[in-house]
Amino acid sequence: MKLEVQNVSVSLGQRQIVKEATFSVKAGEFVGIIGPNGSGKTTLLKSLRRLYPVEQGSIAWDSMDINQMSEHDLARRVAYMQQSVNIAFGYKAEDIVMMARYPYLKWWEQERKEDKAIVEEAMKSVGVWHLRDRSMQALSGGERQRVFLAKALAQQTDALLLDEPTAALDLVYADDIFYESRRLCDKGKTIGIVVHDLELAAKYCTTLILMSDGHIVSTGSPKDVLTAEHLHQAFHLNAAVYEDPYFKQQRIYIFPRNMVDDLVHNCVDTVHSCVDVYNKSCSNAHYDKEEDLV
Amino acid sequence: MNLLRLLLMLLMIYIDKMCNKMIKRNQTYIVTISLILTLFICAVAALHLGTITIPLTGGLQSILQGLGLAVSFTEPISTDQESVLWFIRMPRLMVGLLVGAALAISGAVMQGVFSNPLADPGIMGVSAGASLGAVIAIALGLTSLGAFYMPVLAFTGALLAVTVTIVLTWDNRRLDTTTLLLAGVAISMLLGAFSSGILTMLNEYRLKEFLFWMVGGLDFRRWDHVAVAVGPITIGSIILIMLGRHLNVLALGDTEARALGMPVMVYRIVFLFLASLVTATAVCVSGSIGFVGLVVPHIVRLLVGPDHRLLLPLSAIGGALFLVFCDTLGRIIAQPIEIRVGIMTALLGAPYFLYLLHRLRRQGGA
Repeated sequence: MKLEVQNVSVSLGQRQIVKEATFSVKAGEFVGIIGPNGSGKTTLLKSLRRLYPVEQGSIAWDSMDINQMSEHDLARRVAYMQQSVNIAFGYKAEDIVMMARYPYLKWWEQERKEDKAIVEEAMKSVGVWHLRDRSMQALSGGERQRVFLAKALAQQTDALLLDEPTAALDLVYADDIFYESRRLCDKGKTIGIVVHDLELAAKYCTTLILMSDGHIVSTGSPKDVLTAEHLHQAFHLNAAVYEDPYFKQQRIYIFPRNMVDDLVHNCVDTVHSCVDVYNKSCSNAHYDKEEDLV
Repeated sequence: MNLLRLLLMLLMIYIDKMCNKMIKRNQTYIVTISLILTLFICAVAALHLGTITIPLTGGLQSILQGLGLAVSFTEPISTDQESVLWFIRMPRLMVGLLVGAALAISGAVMQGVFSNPLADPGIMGVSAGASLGAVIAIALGLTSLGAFYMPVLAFTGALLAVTVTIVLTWDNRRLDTTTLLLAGVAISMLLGAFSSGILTMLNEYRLKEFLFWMVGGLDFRRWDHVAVAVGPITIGSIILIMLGRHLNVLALGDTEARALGMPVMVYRIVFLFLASLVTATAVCVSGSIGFVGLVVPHIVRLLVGPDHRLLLPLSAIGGALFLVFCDTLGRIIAQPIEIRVGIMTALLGAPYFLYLLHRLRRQGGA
């Protein structure tokens, strides 16, 4: 499902959090929203799901204005997963995933057989089916997030919005969630994800949106967005950004804040020349082999 | 004949297998069946026991005859016993069942709406509003004019208090639960201050009258009280039970419910209004009986889990059972003195609840 965001501003109380954001997303893209704390990432994500009212501008899913859609209609097209949900009662994991069927039922209806099948499929695809009878309160952080991911899947939407799903997770679980999401995108879902880990974003996302102080600093492919200048602009930090020559992936090294500029430049130059040397040696090796073959 | 016996045996084996399967799958069926059975036994005991004992078979015959069945299988009970059964114990039992069910179900709903296991039916100012209504009725001397002035004023006070709480919290088409909770507490305190203020000006006799109402009791309830309570409580409870699935979603919190496409404000107000209506009705026929609305939903939740589709009806049964049990025990435990039901609920409920929590913590659940 494609998304058009035109000139959107969102205010909470007196403060304007998102300022004139404009971007568009094609179907099947995996969009990472990155930026420092308080830059408006979550607010932007929530307004895409109409959880915050848009002050000006327009948001359209598949050319349909978000304000024209009914609650149920929107919930059948776009799922939203919170950073963490405070569950007061000991619902079972399966109960939680089953709630995703809410937008498909009339107010007097109960879940049908096909809903149960959909829930089972969603839970199996994320690998939490064995936890179905466990109380949510007895699950670990990682298991809980995966149950909520299963819930978002069981909602059977074309688009998914994930708000820092990996914030409290260890490396493996975090990578899992991203891997899973990317796989879904390859199958045609559009996913927007708020993320702090820039390298993880670079590894899996197809598009990045870099925000700072409510503005969008840059959008595009991870290679275009993750540059030293952009990071300096958004995070006010000095970093060396280079492509890992082996995995072909953006790497970021952040320099300490109090480091002298000259030293930073020296370091950056050294890193880049190292990478160049490595690349050259790799390509030479490549040549040698080819010559050998001939 | 032998074939029949064999078939019967097979049937019993089948039933046994099914029961085992159910037990393995979850406790729900057992809990439901045992709750209903215990409720039935308690109801029979409530009619049977007291200063005047009514024979079981004779009582049953009288009830069946009262229902229009011309049966006669034992010698009839005396007219004294009959009037005790029909005009004292039956209405008392009915009011007990209704009030217990009402308090427990609205307690469960409030806990769900506020996603807070410490919420009780009076949290929106219902009890405080009802108390103020009752105090006003007593202070104006309306109680001596007719038995219905006090319930009517209590009911009005309760609903007014809830409305004021909601209206004060309503802001920009939103109803925030935390603010609502705090507003409820503030309104309760304010109304409590008014009640206390009026009470300090009353004479001793009227003060005692209020104290009796405050503690809550089921004595001297007549069929009129049943007639008043039965409509709002049954209709309200049935609608609440039907909406159980929505309460499940609502209990996950605002954002989650809205992300699932639920019109949160509409449902929140519907739940709050219905639960308050049911509570107000209960409070105005029986005074403010504490602890049922807080403890019964908890116990039921520990037994069958938090799914409100089960929790609400089973809480209703459990609440009715708990209140009738407490009332009957209070009547017979220290004859001829009667311990009022409001005291009994706290005396029995609190220790049992603590025990249950303790046991669950040891099991690593809760």
